Amino acid sequence: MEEKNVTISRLNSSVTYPCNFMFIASMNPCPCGYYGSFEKSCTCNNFQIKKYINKISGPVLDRIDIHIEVQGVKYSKLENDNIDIESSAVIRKRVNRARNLQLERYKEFKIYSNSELTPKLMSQYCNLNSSCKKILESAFERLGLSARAYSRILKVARTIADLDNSLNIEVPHISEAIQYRSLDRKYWK
Amino acid sequence: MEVVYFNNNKLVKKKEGNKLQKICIQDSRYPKSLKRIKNPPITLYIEGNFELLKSTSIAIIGSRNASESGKLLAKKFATELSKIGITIISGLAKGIDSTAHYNSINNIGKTIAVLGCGFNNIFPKDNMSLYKEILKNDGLIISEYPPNIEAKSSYFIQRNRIISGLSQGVIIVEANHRSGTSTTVAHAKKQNKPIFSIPHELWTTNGVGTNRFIKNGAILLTETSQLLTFLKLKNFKDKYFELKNNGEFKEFNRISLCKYIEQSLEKNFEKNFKIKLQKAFNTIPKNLYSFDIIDFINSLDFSTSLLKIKNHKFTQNLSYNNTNYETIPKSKKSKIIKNSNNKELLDSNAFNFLSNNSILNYSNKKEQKIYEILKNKQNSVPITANQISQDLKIPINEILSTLFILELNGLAKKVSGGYICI
Repeated sequence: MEEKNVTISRLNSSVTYPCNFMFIASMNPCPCGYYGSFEKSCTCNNFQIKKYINKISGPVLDRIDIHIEVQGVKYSKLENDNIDIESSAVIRKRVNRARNLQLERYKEFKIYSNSELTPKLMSQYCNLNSSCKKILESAFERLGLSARAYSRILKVARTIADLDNSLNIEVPHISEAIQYRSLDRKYWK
Repeated sequence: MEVVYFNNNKLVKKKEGNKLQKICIQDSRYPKSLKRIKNPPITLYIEGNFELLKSTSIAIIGSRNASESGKLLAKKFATELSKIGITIISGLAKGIDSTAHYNSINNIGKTIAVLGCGFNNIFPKDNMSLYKEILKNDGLIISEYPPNIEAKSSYFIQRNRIISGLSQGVIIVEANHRSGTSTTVAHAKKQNKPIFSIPHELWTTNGVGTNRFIKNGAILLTETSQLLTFLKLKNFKDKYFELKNNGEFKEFNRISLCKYIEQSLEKNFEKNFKIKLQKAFNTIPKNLYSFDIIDFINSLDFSTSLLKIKNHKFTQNLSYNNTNYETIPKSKKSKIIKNSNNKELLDSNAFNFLSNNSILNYSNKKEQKIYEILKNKQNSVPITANQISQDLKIPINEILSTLFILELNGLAKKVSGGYICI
């Protein structure tokens, strides 16, 4: 996931292929699926929950940038088409605009998006003002995040700022980015 | 042996407890209250502060899958009883037991943990750190079983008789229908110990047991003073009311602390304001503790609305002991000059100026709205960010970032299932 290639070794030879992918996954919090739900109570004991959750090890979890927790979907939501939500077309426009911003910005560096930022470029484009730095510092202390998490949070914050059409990363952007790393502290403890 | 260490930036002297020892029923140290029960343990393995075997103690027990509101209830009683000097006994289990132990330790109280296993096989394993904390804070650990015995469910039922036997009364905070606490209640009944149970709403699973105990004769408990009256503990009761009138049981979060400071300043800073303020700071959750007013103001700046005030000329030049006269406006200067001999007055006046500038008014509307929703949720039932976004019709990204800021300010907490207000 980090080096963007995969090496397959067999008896006679070993081959390396390029492997640059976007990883999206979903999982239940426990074997019965109801841990943390209001609808039903969880019937798993602590040992089962830990064993299930540790299938995703700490290092793998660290490399996943965004974690979102959702409750089960109620029937009324499945049936009702009448809610005001943004249509895909509107969202697509916003995403494309942010993508174009990034393409423009990184034209001379030959990278295409925020995820490919190197540490040197991050210090140039992901500068934080002092209140953002303070927030990140307290989040680190309280959540016990790793150095890998630090650069990933910055990249996500940069993307959120792009979506918001903002030149610099501001407090709402960084705090939202930190919220997306919630599962480290909650379930894996 | 005396041990000195830091606790909340203060030097505290604590006696280091005794190492693991074995006493038998005929030993002089064997607690008398335990001798009187029907089937007393012949030998006890004890570690820590042996004096606690003679102290007045109350047991606080409850279900292992405690709800957030149950934990708050356990916290309330453990805190109040510890502050007046009563020892808290519990079983080192997860949930209510752990909450009771932790809150007793945090309030410089004494606690006894009774194990259902040997000392070398502490169960549950996650509470190893709690076991060490109890010993570090002058507490006591007791076990009936030899050190290498592993935990078994029948041993927990047996050890419950020690919990009720040692105590003068048992408080049950939460219990579900077939909870292990009912065995402790049965033991307490045989031993003629008063049983206090906290009532819950009819539809809470964790309230079924407690409500049943009340129906079957346990005392319905709502206030610590009620317990003290029933047990005829006059000295403790007097101390309780003394502390209550001094505001010792008042708990603060950021908002209530701000209001408290404003009210005190309006009264033209009553006596011992600094000491009271220090005590108020002590009640804020530890990880957001700041014991200096300037630190406190600096820590408030995470809120976006207060950033402007932080950048105000006056605040920037302010330091706790010397106020810069040039930046104080004329109207305030006269007050300060009149009382310029009194240093404390100087600082408080500066603080007064800040409060008039709404540095302490929680003025960010979004944060206020979200905090109100969290506060209005009954029984601390967690609410998800999605739900808040739907209720307030604010986009989810703003909700998430505001919730994080509330968390940093110690006003909200993320738990499994969503957010609750602290």
